Amino acid sequence: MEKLNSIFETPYAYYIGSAYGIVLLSCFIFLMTTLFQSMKAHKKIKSLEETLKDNDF
Amino acid sequence: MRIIASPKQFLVFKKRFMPWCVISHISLLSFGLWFAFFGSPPDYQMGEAVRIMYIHVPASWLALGIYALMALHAIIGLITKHPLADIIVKASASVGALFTFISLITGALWGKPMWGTWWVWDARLTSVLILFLLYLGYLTLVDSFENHAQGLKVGSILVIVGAFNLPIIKWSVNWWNTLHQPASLTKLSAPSIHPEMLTPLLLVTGAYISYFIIMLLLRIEIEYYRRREQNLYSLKTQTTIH
Repeated sequence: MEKLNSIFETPYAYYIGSAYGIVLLSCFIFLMTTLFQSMKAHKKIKSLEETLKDNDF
Repeated sequence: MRIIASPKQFLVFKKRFMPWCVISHISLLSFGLWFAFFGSPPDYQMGEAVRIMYIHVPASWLALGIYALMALHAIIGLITKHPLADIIVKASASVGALFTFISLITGALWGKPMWGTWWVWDARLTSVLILFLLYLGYLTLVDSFENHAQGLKVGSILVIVGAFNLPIIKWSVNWWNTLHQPASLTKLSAPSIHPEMLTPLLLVTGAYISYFIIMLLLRIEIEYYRRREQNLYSLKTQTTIH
């Protein structure tokens, strides 16, 4: 923890914090968006398959 | 390749392979971040700002590597007409764009305290910006066609033409007098970087690669679902007509 404090007491703290924050946040948002798209597509396919089965196509 | 060529087999493969990718990603990222902040010393010239290197350099490697992978699959797709090649090109593009964006942003955040400026129009930075525009151009182009297959074909041509930018990015620091430093690790000689700094760099690279594989699997799955949906709709339309 002391080492982390010494890093963030330097004038570079803002740049280091921003860089790591942007990387972690953008990767997380991108992952969540893709996961959501995948789940949505899966749900859509399932419901379409059910509809086709029910209508005896 | 044959394993994921069939959508059914791909879904089984993805289900088995995904947990390992997630575990390796979390482990590599945790160790990478630990080494980046606690296990590596400050640089004798850059001081603590060197810690930005551990996320900037691997992102740049991935940005280039993913584009090279896309160009390879674009060539394979145009020659063999195998649909999986086009799917891989499309699935990789948005992840490649993300890593190029990370490379540009972290580069600017590193450049400001080191060079005194966020951006300079030097050969390395400009060629990476062109790479980012190529990724965005590809993503816009493939979705702008009504005929999806035609969009993918035109997109593949753009990717192959844009691949000429890769050697320019790689050797721009040697060919021109740039503000950006030359390569310290990808030279044929021994790396001119201390092992304590090399460790977090390689760990974060591993974390980025596993993240890319996770995203690639998810995006291939989405593309398979999208194609299945189209097939089901056309089947439904055909059955209704008859």
